[in-house]
Amino acid sequence: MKLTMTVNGQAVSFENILPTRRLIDILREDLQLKGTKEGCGEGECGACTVIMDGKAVDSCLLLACQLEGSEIITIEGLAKEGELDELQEAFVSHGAIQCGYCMPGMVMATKALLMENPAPTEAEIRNAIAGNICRCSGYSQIVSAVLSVKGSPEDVEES
Amino acid sequence: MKYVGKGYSIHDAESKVRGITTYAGDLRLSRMVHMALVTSTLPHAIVKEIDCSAALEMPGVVTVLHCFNTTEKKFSRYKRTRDIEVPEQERVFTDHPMFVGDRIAAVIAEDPATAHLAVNRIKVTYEELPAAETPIDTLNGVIDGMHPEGVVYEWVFDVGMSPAENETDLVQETTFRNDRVTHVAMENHVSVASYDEGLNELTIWSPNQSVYGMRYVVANYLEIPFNKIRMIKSTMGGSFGGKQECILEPVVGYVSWLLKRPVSLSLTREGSMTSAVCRAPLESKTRTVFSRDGKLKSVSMDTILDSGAYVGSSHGYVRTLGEMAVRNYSYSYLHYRGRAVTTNMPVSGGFRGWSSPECALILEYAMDQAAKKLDMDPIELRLKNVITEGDIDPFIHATFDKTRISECLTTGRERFNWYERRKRCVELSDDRFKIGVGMACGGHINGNYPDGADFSIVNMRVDEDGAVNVNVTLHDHGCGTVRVMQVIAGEVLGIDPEKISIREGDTYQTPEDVGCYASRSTHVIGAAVVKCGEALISAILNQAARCMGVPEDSLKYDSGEVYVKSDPGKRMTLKEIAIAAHYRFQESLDVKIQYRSPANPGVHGAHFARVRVDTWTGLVTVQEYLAVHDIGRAINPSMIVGQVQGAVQMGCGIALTETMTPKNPGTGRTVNSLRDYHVLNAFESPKVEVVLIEDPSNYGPFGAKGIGEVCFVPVSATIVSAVNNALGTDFNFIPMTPDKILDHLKVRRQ
Ligand code: FES
Ligand code: FES
Repeated sequence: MKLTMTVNGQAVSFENILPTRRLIDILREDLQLKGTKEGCGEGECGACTVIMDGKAVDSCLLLACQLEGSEIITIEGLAKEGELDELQEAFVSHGAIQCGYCMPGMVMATKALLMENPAPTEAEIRNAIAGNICRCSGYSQIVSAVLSVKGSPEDVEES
Repeated sequence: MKYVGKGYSIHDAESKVRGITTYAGDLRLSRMVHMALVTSTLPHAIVKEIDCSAALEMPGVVTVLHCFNTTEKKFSRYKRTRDIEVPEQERVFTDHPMFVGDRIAAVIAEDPATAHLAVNRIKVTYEELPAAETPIDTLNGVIDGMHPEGVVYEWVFDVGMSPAENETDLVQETTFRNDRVTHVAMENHVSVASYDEGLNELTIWSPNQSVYGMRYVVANYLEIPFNKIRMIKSTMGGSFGGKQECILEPVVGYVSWLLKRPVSLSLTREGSMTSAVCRAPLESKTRTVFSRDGKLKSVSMDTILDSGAYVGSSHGYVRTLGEMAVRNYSYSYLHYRGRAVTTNMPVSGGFRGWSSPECALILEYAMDQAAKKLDMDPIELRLKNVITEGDIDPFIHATFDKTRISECLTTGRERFNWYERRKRCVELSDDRFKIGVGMACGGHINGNYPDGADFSIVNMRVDEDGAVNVNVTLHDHGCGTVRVMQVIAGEVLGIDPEKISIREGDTYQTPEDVGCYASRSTHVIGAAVVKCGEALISAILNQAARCMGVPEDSLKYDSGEVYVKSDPGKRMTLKEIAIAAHYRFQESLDVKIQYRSPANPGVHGAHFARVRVDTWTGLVTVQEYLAVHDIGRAINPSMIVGQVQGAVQMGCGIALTETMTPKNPGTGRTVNSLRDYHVLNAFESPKVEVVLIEDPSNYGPFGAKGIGEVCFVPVSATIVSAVNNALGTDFNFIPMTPDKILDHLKVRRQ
């Protein structure tokens, strides 16, 4: 089948692509965007999260036949003119990054949250990344990083 | 301190957050082929036939390698140094699979997706053999003869003198059991190899913990000289001990050598869970004797560990469990019997803490039971028994140095408001929700001393622009040891850590080193960096003295500059000294030192938790968590806190939800997907307060000790303690899943 979509603001098209080719393979193998990671291939870990039409999605679960006309943002598309996005900065400065393998997915999941809800509570953040496993950090520094980006006062709800 | 003790991100945080870090699975080389594994679906069988025809017809498939067209030679994933005695039991592809997940064949294809698709087209015909799903089956003789060298490895040892027991003593027998769990590093197991037939040189990239250890296995296996193997440590997407054994490296090395093409093998999550390595299930029966006033007199432990199909590191692991029994409590006599029993289950191996967390589960459970029977506060009982400065480890005959476990306990008791919190549990509980407070403590090691080749070599060089390079065989697991070395070198040299470049393991470039395990990175390699930094300062002074034509002792080094003490205006920068060294003296400003670890201090932690158990659903919520650690000196507190918090998430999961135990007993099929293997997510993970007690040790860099393993040691034991406190139970197993909790409550109601 033919496929046309936008990836990180650039139009990409494929003349002949298998309808069952996974989005993660299109990104990693066909477009050489290796930032997106595969941790499970079955929608359980969130390492492959990208933003599709403004929503966080697991790129390991989406197939070429579902992508026509979509707008995809991957981790490589966040920095603008080389400058880190505010959220990326916050992950670095809060010590939220360890091995980093979950990070592209974690950043995209929280970016999608902030796009929809610029002032999420701690509980909303934890909820938004409930499908993103980080085995290194225990999540606290990740949550603090996201909280530091949003404008409203901290939510003190118990998790 | 100028740089030590400040908070830094991991050194490559920015690259990681941009998504530009290259992990081994991201590497692409020209002519590279991709492998996908065909693994056994039976726990024990003989492969009769493999039909690859349908796979070979697929466009993009290069070949299928399997047990009938590849070598029969065997290797051991754990024999990474000469002094490790362990049988070679594993083939690259076997015709005698011994567990579900054992490698039988692999599709080699031009791209990864094709390789994976083609795997489904391969038909394997088996003859099924009797299988042992538990050590009991093995001990009953079900798989006698499966390995010619035997299926049971046993250690028995005694240390100290058995004290006289008297009638008033508390003598108790306890049992503790834990299930098979998996590391769940987010990066699956992966290796890439490239063989150059002209040079007879093999290069392998993998996230591993010891490039020289991997080289030892691969070189011996392929009979390629050591100096023709270039083993490179790639960025590690988490290990937790899972990537310390040599599992995929011999496989990709062999296949690349055979096909004369670069090869990449990335396991799927199922592959990482079942085909690679997991933490062993074990059961320990323990007899402890306490005097009436709560002094622990003796411990006797009998442990059976399920090593899975290949013994790997299990024989060492089960021995170490006995040795760990003296790292936290002081008592006069230990009797230990440990058996690693082969089964037809996935291969067990190293896991964060290397048996110390399992040992803590066993001993802390015994402590809690004894506290109840002696009617003592659990912290009081521990304070009577924990090791103190000056105590000697009876196995290695070395002191624990400045160990601060008592302070961890007393500080935590106060900070957690222990008595008050414990008292309030009843009033906070209702018919449905039960609140409980628990604690546990534990200790660990710092390096291999006095065993093994526990030395490190560091080489420092100043470039012509004044930049400092530290050449050292480091293996950052993703928790920031490169940054730690930058900070240490920066502190010694008085230079901004960001400006110092640190190497990681590469056998063609970095010096010999046994590897990064046993919490030796900061303590041993960090101390070597200090020593080398001091040697570099001497070399700088020497060079500057020659340049300036003044005696060396008239000069002072300070923060990257040298000046004449009596005339501070006369000074040279590192850049000027390096240039002078090159062009006036035809030398490089370059020093190299060797460092042998002289000690193995104790390192400890005490953890405290409050849990809420929902008696309707069996779900446990960890509401509060405090971790207090004796760290010596915190080089980079920000990463230490992150590591401790990660360890708590991991230990809570292992205590409450994580298990690979087969859903259908008798099939040998363990849980093999994250759908059924439940890791705590952001919503379920507790907030963790971390308190660090800093009393510099006499040995580590600026007195620092390790943290990555010890912070995991008491976690699961703490949760067991808290759940038992909430429910008034004696749960002596993990995980305490909702099902098991509900079953127990049902029985209690009847
Ligand atoms: S790789 Fe897509 S959710 Fe795990
Ligand atoms: S940083 Fe390692 S998994 Fe999140």
